[in-house]
Amino acid sequence: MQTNRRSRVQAPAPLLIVCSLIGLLVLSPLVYLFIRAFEGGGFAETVSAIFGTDTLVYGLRSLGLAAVVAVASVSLSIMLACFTLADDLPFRRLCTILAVCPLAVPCYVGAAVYIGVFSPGGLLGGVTASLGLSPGWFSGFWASAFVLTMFVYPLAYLPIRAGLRRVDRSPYEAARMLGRSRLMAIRFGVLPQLRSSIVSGGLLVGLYALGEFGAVSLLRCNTFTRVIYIQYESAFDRTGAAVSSLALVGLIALVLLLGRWMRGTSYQDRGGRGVSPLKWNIGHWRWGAFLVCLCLVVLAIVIPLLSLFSWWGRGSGSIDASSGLVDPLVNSLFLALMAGVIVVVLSIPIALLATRYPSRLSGMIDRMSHIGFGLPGLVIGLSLVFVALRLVPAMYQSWFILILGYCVLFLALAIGPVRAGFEQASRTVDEAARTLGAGWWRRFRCLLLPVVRPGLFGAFLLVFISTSKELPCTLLLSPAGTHTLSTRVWQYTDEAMYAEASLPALALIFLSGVLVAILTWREELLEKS
Amino acid sequence: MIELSGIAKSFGRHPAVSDVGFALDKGVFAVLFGPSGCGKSTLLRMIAGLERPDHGTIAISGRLVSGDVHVPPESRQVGLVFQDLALFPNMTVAANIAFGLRGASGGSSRVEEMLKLLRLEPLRDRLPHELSGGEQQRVAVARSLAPDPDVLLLDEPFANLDAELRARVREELIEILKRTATTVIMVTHDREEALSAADELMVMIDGTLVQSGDSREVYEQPVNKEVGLLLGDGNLVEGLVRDEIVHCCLGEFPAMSHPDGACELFVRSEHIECSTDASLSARVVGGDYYGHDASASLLLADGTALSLRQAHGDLPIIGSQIGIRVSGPVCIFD
Repeated sequence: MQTNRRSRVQAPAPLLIVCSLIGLLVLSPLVYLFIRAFEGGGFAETVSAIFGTDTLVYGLRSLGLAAVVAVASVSLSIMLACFTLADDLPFRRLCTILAVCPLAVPCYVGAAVYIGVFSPGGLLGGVTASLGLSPGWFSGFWASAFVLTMFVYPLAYLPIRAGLRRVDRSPYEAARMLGRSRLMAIRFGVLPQLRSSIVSGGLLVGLYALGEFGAVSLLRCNTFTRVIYIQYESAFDRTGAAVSSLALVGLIALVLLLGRWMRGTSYQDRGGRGVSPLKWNIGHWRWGAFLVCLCLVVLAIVIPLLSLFSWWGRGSGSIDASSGLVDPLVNSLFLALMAGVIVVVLSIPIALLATRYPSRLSGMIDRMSHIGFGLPGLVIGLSLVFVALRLVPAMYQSWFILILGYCVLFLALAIGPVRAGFEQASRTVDEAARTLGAGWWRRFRCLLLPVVRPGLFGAFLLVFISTSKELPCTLLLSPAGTHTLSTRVWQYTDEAMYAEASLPALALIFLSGVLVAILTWREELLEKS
Repeated sequence: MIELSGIAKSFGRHPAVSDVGFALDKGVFAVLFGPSGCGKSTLLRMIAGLERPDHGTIAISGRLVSGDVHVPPESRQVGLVFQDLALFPNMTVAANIAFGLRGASGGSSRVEEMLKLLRLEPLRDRLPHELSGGEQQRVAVARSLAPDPDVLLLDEPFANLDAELRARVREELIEILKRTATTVIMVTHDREEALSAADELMVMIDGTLVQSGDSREVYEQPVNKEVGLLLGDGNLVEGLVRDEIVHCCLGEFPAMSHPDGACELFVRSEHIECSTDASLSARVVGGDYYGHDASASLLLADGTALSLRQAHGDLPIIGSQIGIRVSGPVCIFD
C-alpha cells in the first residue's frame, strides 16, 4: 500500500533518448514497408492488389495452415503435458526432455528430410512405390501441416506444460466435493486456469506457421510467404512483394487480436504462493502413453537423423567439405555471436527503462521493440532490402544490414529474460546502496550485474540459437556468394542434392541441439536455486 | 542535530505528509509512530533523500540537505535499515558491512568492530540467505552503522520477524544502539515497540505530527482521543463541565481549565478497577483472558459500555453485578 504511492521517478534523459532510438530502429522496416506498398500506384491500386486475383486465396491458405498447425500442436501438447506430468509414466524424465527435442530441428530441415525420405531411394521410398503414389506426393498443404506440427509443437508444449504444473488443485477438489463428475470438475476447475497458457501456446505456433517460409517453400505449398518470395525473386515485382507483405502483416495483426480476445481474463495471477499442484496417474494405459511418446521421438528425431546420416554416407565422396560445411559453419557462428552480443546490449536499456521507470512513454517503447515478435523473417528481410536500396545502397547485402535484420527479429526475444533479471533486482537494495554512499556505476557493477547476469546469458543463448536457425532474412540479406548453414541446406534441398544438404543440416541440428540442451539444463538449475 | 521544518509531500493529488517539523538532539532514540499509511515511511525516505519534499527544509548536523538544495542519498551520511532489510544477496556478511566504507575510514578495522558489536564474528563469511531472521537483522544494522552515520533511520525493522523472536531481537538491538549513542529515528506501528523504545515518541496521523514527547507523557496525556486510542485501550464517555467540575456517568472529576459545556472523557481501561466499596455498579457482559492480563466488558445502569483491563487473571463472573471505580488519570477532550 505504502509502496504504491511512491513518487514516479523520471527516467534520465540519456536513457530515454537511447531507448527511443532503438525503438525507432526496430520500427523503421515496417514503416518503410508501408511507404513502399503505397508508393507505386497509389492507394486504390494497392487495395485492389490486396483483394485482387489470388491474394485472397493465398491468405486463406496461410490462415488455414496456421489454424490446422495450431490446433494440432495444442492437442498434441496437452496430451504430452498430461503424460509427462503424470506420476507413473515410464522413463518420465527422459520423455520430458525428448518432447522438447524436435525444437532443435529447424522446420526447413525437417521438410527437406521428409521430402528426401519419401523420394525414390529414400528411407521410406519403398512406401511411395508400393502404394503407387507419384514420386513427389509428399508436398502441399497437408505435408506442410504435418512437418510444421512435428517440429514446432514444442513452442506450445512448453507453456502448456508450465501452465499445467501451476494449476491449483483446490478448485478441482471443490468442484468434486460439490458433487460434480471428474470431467465436469476438469471443465470448471482446471481448464479456466489453463486457458491462458493454451491460448499463448497456440498463438505462438499459429504465428510461427503463418510466417514460416522455408518448409512451405520446399513443400511447394502456395502460402503468402512463398508467393511473396517468388514475386520478389523471379518476377522482380517489388511493389507486389511489398503489398503482399503488408497484407501478411495485416493477417498477423488479426491473429494477435484474436488471441487477445480468446485469452480473456487471466485466472493465474495468484502470486504463485500456497498453490498445491494437481497430481494424477495414467494407470493401465501408461505403457501406451510411453509408446506415443516413443512414436513422436521416432518421427521427429530418429527418422531425420537416420536419413541425414545415410545420405551423408552415400555421398561422402562427392561433397566439398570446405564450401559445403566449414565456410557456412564459420559464417553461421560469427553471425550468431555478433547478433547475440548486439541484441543483448540493445535489450539492456529497454529492459532498464521498462522495469525502473514505468511510464506511458516507456511502455510505448517497450511495445515498439516487440514488433519483431509477430513479424516473419521474410517480411523484415524484404523491408530491409527496400530500406537499404533506397537509403544506403552500399549497405545492401552487407553483414551490417543482415545483423540489423536479426536485431529487429530477435530483440523481443532477448528483452524477456533480461527484463526478468532486472525485476529480480530489488529496488530497496539499490536504495540501501545509495544511503551507503555508492554511485550509479558501483551500484550497477556490484549489485545489479551479478543479479542480471544469468538473464543476460539466457537472452544471449536464445538469440544465438534463433540466429543460427534463421532462414528467410539470411537468404534475402546475406552478401552475395556467402552462405550460412541454413541457406546451404535450403539451396541444396531445393535442387534435390540431398547428400550435399546432409552435412550442413546435421551441423545445424547438432549446434541447436547442444544449445537447447544447455538452455533447458540452465533453466532447471535456476528453478532449483 | 537533525531539524525538519514545514515538510510536505504529496503523490499526485494525495497528500502524504503535510507541514511536519521537529528537532532532535544527538544521541536521542526517537520513534515515529502511527497507523499504516499515515506517511511515516515517506517522511523517513525524505530524511534519507530517497524522496524529495515538495516544501520545507531538512538540516542534518547543521548542513542543509533538503530545501533549496537536494543532497542525494549517497552523500548524506544517513543510514537506513529497510523493512525488507535489503541485504546484498551476492555478498558475504563482511562484504555487506564493508560496502559503505570506502578507503579513508580504515575499512577492515571498522568491519571487525561492527562484527564484534553485533556478535556476528562467526558468521562473517556467510551469505545473507544462510542466516536466520534475527541474524539478518543484525547484519542490516551493522551495515548501516558502519560508516558512522549522523542519523540512523529504521523503517519498521522488526516487522518481518515472528512474534517470539521479535521482542528479543528488538530489545537487543535497541540496547546496542543506545550504547553507541547514535541518533536514531525508528518508524513503527507497533505500540509496545514504540512505547518501550522511545526517548522521544512522535505520533503521526494522516500525514501530520500530532503529538511528541516522552512515551509516558504521551500515553497518559494524549492530546486527542485518536492518539489515546492508538496507543492503548480506553473508554470514551460523554460529560458536562460546570464550575470547573466534569459530571459524567463515572462520577465527578476536576475539569482542570476546561471551559464550561459538553466534553468527552477518556479513561484507560486499566484505570478502571473492581472494588467492593465503590459507589458505581456495573454488570459484566463479557470477558477475554490473555494470560498476562485479562479484560472485561461492562455495562452501566444507564447503558454506557465500558472496558476494564486488569493484571491478574481472576475475572468477574459474566452476568454478575460488580462495583467499579476510576483509579487513574482522566483526560478531557472537546
